[in-house]
Amino acid sequence: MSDLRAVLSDSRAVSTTLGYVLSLAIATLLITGLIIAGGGYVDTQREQVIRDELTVVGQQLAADVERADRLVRAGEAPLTVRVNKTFSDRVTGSSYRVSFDPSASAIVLETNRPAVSVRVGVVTETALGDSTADGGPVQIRYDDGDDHLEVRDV
Amino acid sequence: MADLRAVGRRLGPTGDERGQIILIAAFAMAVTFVTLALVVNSAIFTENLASRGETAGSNDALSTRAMVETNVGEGIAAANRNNNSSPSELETATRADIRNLSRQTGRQAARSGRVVDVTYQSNRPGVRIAQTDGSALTTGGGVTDYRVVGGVSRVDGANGTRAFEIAASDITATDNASAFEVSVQRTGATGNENSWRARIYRTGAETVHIRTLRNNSTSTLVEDCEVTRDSGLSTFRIDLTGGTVDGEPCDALGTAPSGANVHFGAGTDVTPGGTDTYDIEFANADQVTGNFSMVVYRRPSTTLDLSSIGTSPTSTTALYDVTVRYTHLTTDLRYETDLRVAPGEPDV
Repeated sequence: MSDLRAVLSDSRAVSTTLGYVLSLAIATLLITGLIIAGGGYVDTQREQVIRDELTVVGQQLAADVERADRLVRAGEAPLTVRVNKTFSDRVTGSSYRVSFDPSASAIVLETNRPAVSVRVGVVTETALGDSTADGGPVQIRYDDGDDHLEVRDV
Repeated sequence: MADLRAVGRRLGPTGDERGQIILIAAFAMAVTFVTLALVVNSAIFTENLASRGETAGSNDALSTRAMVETNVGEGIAAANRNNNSSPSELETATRADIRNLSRQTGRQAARSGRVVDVTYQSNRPGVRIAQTDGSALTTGGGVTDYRVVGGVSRVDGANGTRAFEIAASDITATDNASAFEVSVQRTGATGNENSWRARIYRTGAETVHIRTLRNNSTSTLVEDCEVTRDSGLSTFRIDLTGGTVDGEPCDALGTAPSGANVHFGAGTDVTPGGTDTYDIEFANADQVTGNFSMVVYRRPSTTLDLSSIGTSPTSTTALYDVTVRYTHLTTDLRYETDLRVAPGEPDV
């Protein structure tokens, strides 16, 4: 019994172990926090950059749609208007889709991961046709039969 | 982390495996930094993309189109003046002119990496009525009030008269009552109904006054404008279809305050593209001395009433308009359209 009491009351070498465990726990906590905070920061920045890039791509596309509209208005049937534009296939590592929304007179650009959607308004006299294309090289063309502008892949 | 552990094992049974968490963390941070670099790179690329301008060349397509339209118009005017003995001669001359134009424009465009092609498609017949001897605008027999042309149809979406210009070396009328009057009226209308009239007189040595009257069945819209010509000019150049006097806009000839354009055909309520017609008449033609020229549309299989026209003024076969096919290609743009050219035609 006295041996057991001696062992239980013996606190030698505890501080070394405790110190090791504590420093391990604090280091883990700090590093985990750093990684989570860093990762979150990068994710936020990435989403923001994707949003910005989609906005810029949308605005460039809107300018091209309005240029195509100007060519259509200046032309007489039979009319062919095709404007090609090459954008990057991915925005900050995410693939994206471009579509025309005729009801809102807008261009909608969307990515899936992370889910970001951007709308850019366009002002045209020629109607927009309901159409979608994958990001990258796209073509804006005038459909003579339906009298509208549409976007498609090239 | 097998390699990290292996390093530890090689150190022996008491191998030092400390630092694992820091290594893992460093690895994770490295991945984070690489991702951050990618994000920053994308942001820089976005800035670059935002500052890019027009790349497809649609501005060139439109400016070249305008140039082609002007040049074809000049070709039509030249053919109407010089190759007017028959419709076929007119067409042959215009075709040759357009071929020449296509070749020259194409060569010019090729230097900047573009392909431009212009081909003749069709034409619509017309008659050019002109006086070039500088006498009073009366008929050869001295008649002051006469019908210049009758039975003019309106082309679809536009007028039936274009490039109507008077170069007056002298205008003697000084008030509305004795003014030289150009009257455009629906064929068969009575009184002043369905008419558009322009009265031209002088209110000063260098100032011309134009009063236009548009009658429909219920009311008359009267508008006035005055233009003082630049000093040193010996003629008043009155462009009745362009709405200018000596190059300055004259509101009475142009757009009405209500927004409706009252040029010619639109003032007579003749439907564009239909079978209705209008007549153009002069009154008090002895009040103006000088020259004039106009081209009117003759609907196929109809004839115009030119019974008062003899040698001065005179009438010749002419082209009212010409349609060409305009093609403009660049690596990023394909633009093909028909282009109807009718120089000096008002848009209604």
